[in-house]
Amino acid sequence: MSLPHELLDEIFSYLPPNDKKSLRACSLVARGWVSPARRRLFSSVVITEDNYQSWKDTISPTDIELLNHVRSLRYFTALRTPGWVSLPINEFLIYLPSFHHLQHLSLCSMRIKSDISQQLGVFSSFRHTLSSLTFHAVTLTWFAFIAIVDYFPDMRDLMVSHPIWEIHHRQPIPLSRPLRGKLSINMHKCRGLPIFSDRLPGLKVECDELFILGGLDPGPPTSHYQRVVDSCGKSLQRLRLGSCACTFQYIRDHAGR
Amino acid sequence: MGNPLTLKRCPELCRLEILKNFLGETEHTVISSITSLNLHTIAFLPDTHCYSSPHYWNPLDNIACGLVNKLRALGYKHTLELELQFESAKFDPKLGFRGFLTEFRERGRVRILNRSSGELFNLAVRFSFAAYIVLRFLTHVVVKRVARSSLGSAHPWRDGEPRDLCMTTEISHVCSLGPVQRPSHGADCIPTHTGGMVAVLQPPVPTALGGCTSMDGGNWEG
Repeated sequence: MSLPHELLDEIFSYLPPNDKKSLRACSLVARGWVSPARRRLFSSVVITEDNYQSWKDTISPTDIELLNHVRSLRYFTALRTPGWVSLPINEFLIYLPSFHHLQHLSLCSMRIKSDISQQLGVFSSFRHTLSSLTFHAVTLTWFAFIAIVDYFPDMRDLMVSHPIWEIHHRQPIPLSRPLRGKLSINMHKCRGLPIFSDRLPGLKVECDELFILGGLDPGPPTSHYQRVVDSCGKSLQRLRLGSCACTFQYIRDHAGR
Repeated sequence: MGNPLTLKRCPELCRLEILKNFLGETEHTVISSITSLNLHTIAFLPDTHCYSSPHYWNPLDNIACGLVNKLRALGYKHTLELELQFESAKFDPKLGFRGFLTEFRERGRVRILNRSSGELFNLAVRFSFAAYIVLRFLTHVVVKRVARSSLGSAHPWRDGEPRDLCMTTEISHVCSLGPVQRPSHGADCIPTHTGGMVAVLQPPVPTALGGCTSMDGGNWEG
């Protein structure tokens, strides 16, 4: 006798969120338990340089059944100095078409080329499901940034953390639709802040929630933050101003995504 | 550094959250600059015990009062809420909150939220937090000179009159422990299910601003 998936989901929901070991054990109990266990095991995937090789060896880019379970994907390399190694973005790109239900994508410590606008098709499988996007320590041009943000019509949560803007002589383009929902920035003592704050007013920003991490710390001229706040001003309903010392809160809020 | 951040151009702002351990001029300027008539809550999320220091909160008391006065002059109709959030592991209930934003409590509402447990404490106008800690372990609450309404009602002290909701919440929490009994000396007595202690409270004295002084003047019988 096999239990309905709804019941198994309910039972598995009592396991601690990070208890991967128990979920793996559950997936071996019976054939009917595989799918519900996998759904939880793969709902949030973090790929780092430590697990990238095992990920590549064990999971096929065409394993749609498995990759369909992924709702949150974080792909990053921990910042290391000197000479930290970046994960190969091109190898990773072949996985993207199989993430059909991705809701949150976090890209960290990578370089995105300015011709990304011609390759946006790699995101097409989750174009209409993605609602949350994070750039952390990503090197890219403003043009590429706008192209990616604009590609996802239902995005409600954008996080930009320590961007490294590359010079690009192309005229900045506006977003085709207003940026809505939540905007979070973490650019304390970041050289990318002036460019971001200068260009943000040129976009259609109608965010109702703004989180400025480091916005209360001494360091950067507050005029940059003031421009960011004023850009959202008319629609802004909720504002969070944090000091870097209180990043615990930010980390916890984003940990489950 | 330049001029501090201001929120003059945020007319729809409902909630401001400040994630910082020590409030200074910058934060005071930010709060004072609010002009939104939709403002409901200013929340503070420190990760240390800094809130135990009166030096930390006293300036904020004045600034929050000034903000409410300014907004009232502009037509502000809401009750502003100041919310302190903390983690239970870092919270010491012995601190008490007797002197905690006392001026502001007569103009708005102060809430303390335990993020771990989800517990929410509403501070009355002059509510002693230490009293609340004791109240949680009471078996009986005896009230001297009981006001007109019954203790079990939503507004236990007075019927039909606007009261400080925070106080009501605290008292109703205690009242919910058991049915009202009337002891021989005329006070109302609320037995609880665990047995042991009896508390005697003086009824709150209404203030000119519609709030009440509450448990600070209470007598306690162990």
